[in-house]
Amino acid sequence: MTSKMKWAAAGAVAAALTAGLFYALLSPARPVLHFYTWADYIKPELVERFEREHGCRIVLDTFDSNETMYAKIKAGASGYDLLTPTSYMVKLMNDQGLLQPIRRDLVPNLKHVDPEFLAVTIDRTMSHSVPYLLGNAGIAYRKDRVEKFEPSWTVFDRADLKGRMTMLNDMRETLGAGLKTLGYSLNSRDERQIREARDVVIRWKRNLATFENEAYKSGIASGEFLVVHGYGGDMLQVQRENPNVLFVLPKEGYVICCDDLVILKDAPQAALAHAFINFLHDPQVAAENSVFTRYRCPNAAAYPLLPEDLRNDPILFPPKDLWARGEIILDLGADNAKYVKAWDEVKAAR
Amino acid sequence: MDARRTWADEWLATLPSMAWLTVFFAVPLLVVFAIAFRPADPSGGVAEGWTLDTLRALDGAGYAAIAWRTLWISAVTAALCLLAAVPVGYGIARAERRWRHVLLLLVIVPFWTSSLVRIFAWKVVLHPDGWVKELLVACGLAQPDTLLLYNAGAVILAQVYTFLPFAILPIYAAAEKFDRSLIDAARDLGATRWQAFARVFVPGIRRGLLAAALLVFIPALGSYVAPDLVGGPGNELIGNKIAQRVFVDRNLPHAAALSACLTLAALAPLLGARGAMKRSRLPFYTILAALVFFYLPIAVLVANSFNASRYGGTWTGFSLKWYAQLARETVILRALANSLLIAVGAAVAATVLGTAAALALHRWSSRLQRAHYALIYTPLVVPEVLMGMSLLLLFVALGVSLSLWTIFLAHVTFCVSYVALVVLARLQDLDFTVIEAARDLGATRWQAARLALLPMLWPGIVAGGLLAFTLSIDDFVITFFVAGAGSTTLPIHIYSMIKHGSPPLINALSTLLLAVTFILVWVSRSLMEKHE
Repeated sequence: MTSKMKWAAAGAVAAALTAGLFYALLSPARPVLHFYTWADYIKPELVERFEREHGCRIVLDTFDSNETMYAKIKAGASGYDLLTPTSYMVKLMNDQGLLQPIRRDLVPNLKHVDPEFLAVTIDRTMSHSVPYLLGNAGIAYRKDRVEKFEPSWTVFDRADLKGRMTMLNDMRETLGAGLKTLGYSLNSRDERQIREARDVVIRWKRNLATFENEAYKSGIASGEFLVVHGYGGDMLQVQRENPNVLFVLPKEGYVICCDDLVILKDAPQAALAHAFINFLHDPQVAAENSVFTRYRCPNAAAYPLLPEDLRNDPILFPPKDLWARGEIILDLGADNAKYVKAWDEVKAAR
Repeated sequence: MDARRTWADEWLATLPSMAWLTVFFAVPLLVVFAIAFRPADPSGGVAEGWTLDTLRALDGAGYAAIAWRTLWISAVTAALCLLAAVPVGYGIARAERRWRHVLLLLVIVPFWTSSLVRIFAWKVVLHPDGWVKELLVACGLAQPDTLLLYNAGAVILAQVYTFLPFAILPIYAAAEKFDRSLIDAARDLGATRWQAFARVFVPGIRRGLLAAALLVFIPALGSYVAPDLVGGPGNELIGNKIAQRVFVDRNLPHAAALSACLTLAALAPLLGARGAMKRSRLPFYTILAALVFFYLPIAVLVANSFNASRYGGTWTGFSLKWYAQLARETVILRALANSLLIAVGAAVAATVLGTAAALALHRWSSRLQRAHYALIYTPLVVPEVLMGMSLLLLFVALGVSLSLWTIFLAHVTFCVSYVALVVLARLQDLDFTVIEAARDLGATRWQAARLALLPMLWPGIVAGGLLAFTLSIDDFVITFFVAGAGSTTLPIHIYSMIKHGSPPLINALSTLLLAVTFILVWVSRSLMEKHE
């Protein structure tokens, strides 16, 4: 071998050894709960506390969208115990027989779950899912740069903000905004209504910089975008850094989204998963987690434990009349195709 | 040489890559393509029976416009990449020996950080109130309300940025071998500088140019992540559409049909087209320009790692808090360890398989090699989403539980093609008589390969291995499908963080990794100098 080859080989071996060492140091030896969730979606200290109390290890794996996660699990990927999909996806996963029932006797803390929230959700009896964190989709804007702002979806009609606004690249959220603007349900199965909503969104599209799910947070913080369609929890985090960012729920109505804790049918550690759900709904733990994530945990006993600013936040706890205008996205099964068609036409329109 | 020995050699060199790609690529992919003829089931599965409806639906949904847009954006991307890569590759190859590998690493190292994070950094650079925009307005090149992002130009910029190293590496591998005295000879015989370049240099590295064009144009056809981030509402590419069909519409048959069409279209050049190439000069300045281009987002990334802001568009004060937080994030550190382990392993394995494949392809021109070439080339064009899905279905069907191993197998599968094409570029005009002479003088097959062949191939192998490492360490889509519980890699975690978490941690991590890499390069270089 030439000396160069020796160096390269030595480099490769050194890198592999370093990685291996890392791996050995960090790899678990106790019973392992595999928690498949969004990044930064649980306070790390709470994970450690549960690990200590139950003599186990929690391995966090992350997914970036409900759809990619579902495609993977549906195709047969296994090994995960506990997941946090959004409720419309929970319904689909349950219909497909991918989930196991929740055993109430193992989760006594379910008595704390907010009944007011359960009334609007899909799995009202918590037979196969337990609500974890609750958010909503609405509009954020820069109060220092946008004049005469109205809390309404029609802001996307404003030509003076052309090129500085984004909406979510999500067929149900964005067509849903169109449906709400027209006064329809965002779960409409009526083709005529969906077509009308499509035309509204095509009109908005001419003023948008792009359809976008990730960069709108940094975009509104830096002033690249002045009005964005996005999720409340994220926007509250942006607001903590830049007080010029305000988030509103449009008067025509908005999306309530809840991520639920579910246990996969073939979960290797089902008992541990139940124990973890119970832990997360301990009022003290739920409150602590809400403070970390800036999302509301629908746990009634935890509300009084929240700090004043969260407790009085109109986004986390909308006043009654606004709360009534929120809607949860349902999976529409075969009628999904109507939205696919409308969304294709939105994308193709000039 | 007797015929039987050649025959045995050919199979020995061909079989590993061919068998690997047949098992992990061709068979699962054909199974997925067959889904195009099954009816869709709204829950994301496949219903019973067979149908041609999906194929009939392909003339709708504005596909013609999307296909045309994909084609021209990819073609412009490939042309721009070649234009920049020829002088850069040539310049690196001509640099002083001891600088050559340093330059090569300088060019490639930025691509070891997350592509997603770098695209975000571009957004900071091209901010509508940023200094680039102000400069353009001051020069009269833009109006105050011009948008630099969310148009076709921004998509091309992101694509060139992503694919330029894929063009530089094969051209470097080919140009390193090119005998410069040929140009001097041509000049002495009265050729102008341009004639010498066009008539002597370009034909001398044609394999490198061809490989570069393929490695940019073909993967660009199916890409969708960067176009999604910097494109506007009217810049959708075919890759976006395929991803939408799989995930949002849950219509696998439709996605399979689209991907099969794309694959067939991209296989057309295999039937005999040759690459026509462009030119450029001033290697030194283009290397400099390329480095500025590559490191501009890196500078933003490093600056943002010290920025107190969580969102990184504006400076809100100096802070080390992201570094402090990083030390506590075992999830990220574990993901990093996974990524490194896989990238090193996959790069080594793919380099071995790819090099053997390139040798076989170059040495023999039989029907077997034509099939072999098709098998090597096709993985470049198949959209990642479908490749990931097909591998997942394969592992599930075989009852293999997902783990780091399945990620390793998948990564080797998509890296082999890249390595083979880069090494192939190096093999142009290779003189096999040297090896035959060695064997006639009594060298064993192994000795001939080690002492005669390997040293000649070395720059190609290095370039191929670097490319494989680069691809592996940043792959998200395929990895996501085949990663098992507990085997999250860094890109998987970053994608989730971008949606839900705090990217500054990734800036801090990338900065540390870059620093460590540069220190290692510097140390090994000074050690090597002493050694020599």
